[in-house]
Order: sequence, then C-alpha cells, then structure tokens
Amino acid sequence: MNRSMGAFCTFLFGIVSLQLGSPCQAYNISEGLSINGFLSQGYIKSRHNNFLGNSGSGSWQLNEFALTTNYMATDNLRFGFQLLSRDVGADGNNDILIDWAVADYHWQDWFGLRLGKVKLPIGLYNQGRDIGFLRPMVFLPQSIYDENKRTLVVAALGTSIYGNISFGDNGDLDYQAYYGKVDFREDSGQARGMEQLVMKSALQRGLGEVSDFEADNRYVYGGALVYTPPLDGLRLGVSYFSGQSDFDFRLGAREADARGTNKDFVVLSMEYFLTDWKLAIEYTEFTGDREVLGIDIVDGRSQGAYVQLCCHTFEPLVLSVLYDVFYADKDDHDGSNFVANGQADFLAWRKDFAVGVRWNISDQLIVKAEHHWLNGAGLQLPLFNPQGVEEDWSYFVLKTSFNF
Amino acid sequence: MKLVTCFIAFTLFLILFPARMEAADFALVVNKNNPLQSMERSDVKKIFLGKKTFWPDDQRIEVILQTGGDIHRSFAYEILNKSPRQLSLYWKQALFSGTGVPPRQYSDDQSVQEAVASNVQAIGYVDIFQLDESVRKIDLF
Repeated sequence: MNRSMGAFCTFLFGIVSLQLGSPCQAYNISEGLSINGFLSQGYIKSRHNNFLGNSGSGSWQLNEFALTTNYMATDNLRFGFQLLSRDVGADGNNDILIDWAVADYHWQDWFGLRLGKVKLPIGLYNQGRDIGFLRPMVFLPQSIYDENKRTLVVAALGTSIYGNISFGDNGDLDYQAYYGKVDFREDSGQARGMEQLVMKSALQRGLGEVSDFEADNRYVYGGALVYTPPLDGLRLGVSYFSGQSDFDFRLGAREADARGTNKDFVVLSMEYFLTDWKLAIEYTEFTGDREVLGIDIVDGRSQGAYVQLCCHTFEPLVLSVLYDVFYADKDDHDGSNFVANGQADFLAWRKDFAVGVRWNISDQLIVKAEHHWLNGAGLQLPLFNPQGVEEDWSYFVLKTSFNF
Repeated sequence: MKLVTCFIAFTLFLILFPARMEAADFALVVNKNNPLQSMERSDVKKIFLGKKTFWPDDQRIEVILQTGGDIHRSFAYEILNKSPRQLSLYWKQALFSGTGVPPRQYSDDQSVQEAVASNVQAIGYVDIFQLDESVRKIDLF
C-alpha cells in the first residue's frame, strides 16, 4: 500500500467512523452537495492455477476504496466525481484514480448529456463492475466482464448521451451512446497480455529485448439499449463496443509498435426479477485483432455466455448459482487450432460453475463467499501462470464490503 | 457429471421456496399546489426509479423515500416490485456509477408530509392512516 493510498484510507475511514454514529446514509455537506463511498476487502485462494495474481498461495490483494461526491447545481445540472483505489492481483496496486467525473445535463427524460470521464454501458452490469457490494457474487461473469479487459472497457474520457423513451403501456427504453478515449494503464491485464505477446514474438524472431513498453488508447465508442417491457421485473438489453489501442516500446536499440483492436463487442442481455428470484442471462461475441511487429494476429471471434440464478427468499441471505462459459474462437470450440499451433487445446475455453452466498448484515455492510470450479484456461490465464497452466482448477473467494 | 449434479441439486433447492407477497396501506402524496389528481402505477414506478423525472409542466420531480418500516416495505414491493434492500441497491448502482443521485430519505410519515408540503415539486408516500391535510393524496389506477 503506497503513501497516497494510506492518506486516502485514513480520510475514508475517518468519514466512515463519523458515519457510523449518524442516522443518515450520505454526507449532505450543504443543499445539493453529498459525499458517499464504499470500501471492501477480500481474500482469494485458488488451486492448480493462479487467477488474476498470485492466488495459489492465498492473496489479500482484492480490495476497493471509493469516495463519491455529487453536487446538484440546478434541477438539470449535476457535477460529480468518484475517486477509486483498487488492488486486484497484479492490477491496480491501490493507486488513487478518478473512476468517473462528469458534468451531467439532464434536459428532458428522453435526453441528457454527460461530459467528462463516463462509465461505459456494456452488458447490464459493466457500469457497476467496481461496486462489488451491488452484485450477488464477488466477480461478475468473466466471459463478458473479463477482469483483464477492465481498463479498456470501464470508463472513457469523452462524452455520452442518454435518456429514457416511454412507450406508454408498452414499456420504456433506456439508451446510452458514447465516444471517448481510455486512460490505459501499463499494469492492466490487457497491456500486460500485449507486452507478453510482443516479447514472445521478438524472442521467436530474434529481434532483441523489449523495453520501455507503453500503452495508449486511441478511441472507444459504442452504446446500449435496455428495453423494459410491461412484464414486471423483465429487462432486455443489447450493447455494442469498439476500441483501438496502440503500444509503443523499444526493441533493442530501435523503436517499434503494436496495435490492438477490440471490435464489434456485442452483448445481448436478459434479466428477470420476480420479487425473490433473479435470473440473468447474457451472451457475447467480440473480435480481438492484434498487429505485432508488422504481423497481423487475427484472434478470431470470441464467444461467451452465462446463466445466473439468485434467490432472495432467505434475505438477509442471498444464494446464487452461476454457469459461465467462454470460447476464444467460436469456430474452434474444441481447441483444434491451438493444438495445431503446438499449444494445449484447453486454452480455447473457460467453463466456470460457481455457487455463492451473500449475507446482507445491513444495507451498509455485506459479506460474500463463493466457490468456483473451472475447466479450461481461456481468458489469458497463462499470464498469471508462467510456469504452465492446468486444465481443471478452482478458487474460493471471501469478501466483505461497507458503503455509506 | 459431478458439476451437473451439484447444479441441479442447488437449483431444485432454490425452487422449493416460493416468492412472498406483501400487503400495502400507503397513500401516495404530493404538494397541495400540484394539480395532479391521479396517476398510473406504471408512471409512479418510473418516477421512483428515476426514469421519469419531470412533471408535465417541466418542473423537476423531487422524489422522497422513507428510510425503512412497513410502509416503505409495502410501497417497494407493491409499486416497484423490489424489496427495500433491492431498491436501496438500485439507487446505489446509479450513485456509484455516476449515472444518478438517490432521492432524499426521511424516517417517518410526519417528516415526509412536511417535506412534501414545503416543496411543490415533491412526491412521497405515507401510512394512509397518518395522512393529514398538509398534503394531497393521489389516486392510483
């Protein structure tokens, strides 16, 4: 934990301590100005493979701290920002970053405009992906909300439009569209994945040592539609995302570059909430093309889907069951292409079955525990297991969160 | 095979427990200067979930929630199809993702009625047996 993080935590815990003696849920500093926040700490232990970091021997590198401020300047105009510090294995390192910061002009129900750093609507849950206490399980289903891809898809500096269009008795439609640029971090899973690929290519072709690796996003754009039909509790969604990133580095004595494109990232979503039951199903396809040292590496069109069922009957306990599957190439489910390239076939997929329990001790304090049984090593698992990956593996996570 | 057996067993366990229904004795209230007499339930739901945020005269709707209790529970289940905790999480999602700010919350019927009576843009809900003349009850259909 670095010094800035220490100061941030001290401030945050100061507010939390004060908050514990207060009946209100947010700090309303003055009319229209409020401060909220959350903090969480988890523990992860995996068997046979590391996941997101050095989890094989057990890891406490699983936390988030956030401080959120909103100011309603007028009935239509809001200013807000959120500072976020997170450490998830190799990613984050508890640096304090601006998670989002917006000037939000809500002109009418059907149209609003946000300028600044905006969260990206991908699937039904991407905008809340760092807010662990919102969801039933610690991690969102990785086939769609891949932690290694987080930096690219979580938020962008740019603009977005949004609104809600009512169809009267036929329901309503929420829409969002955005264009911007991502602040790409070198310690993100995607940058590290590209760096590893560059190093491997350079080594194979005897081009020298890779150094001074830098990642830079050129653009992201996309949008989402969420239709709420008259059937109570049902939401249907579709979202689209495309983005391109450049990577500069030194190869021996000369400068070189690489390019990564995540295009046509489409997610189809369905969520059905019936008082005590919640069913979520999402399906995705996306294409990741990479150009490394002048060679096009067409990764194929990836495919993923999950089904998650949550039971709220026993609140404050919420029970969840998840089946999540990912294929690196939708036309190569059995990994034949990997075998042809001298790699293990199980790098072509990742199948995750999980059960979890969430205990809502209060609206502010929750504890979650879950166990995952996995088959396959897709989604960049070799990145965390340079010694080699195993096909069958598992992990357990315990996490507690507090919000105010 | 083991995984499939676990999945089926866990799913069956969950299905064995039925959903619960809640009774409701709340009154939807607005400021006495608000000309509205009645509202559709679907519109009330949109208002309290932040999807409909303007009155017909383009004034911003000031939504007022209760912090807890039986009336809050009844309102959340019957109108919003959510438990109080689910409603709280719904608004926290908007808050922490930068897409909205939760409504103000008051701890009892009297505080809600005072807030609604003092703000022509406000809408709230109270125990129907605690309703006083400072606010106007809206008919739901």
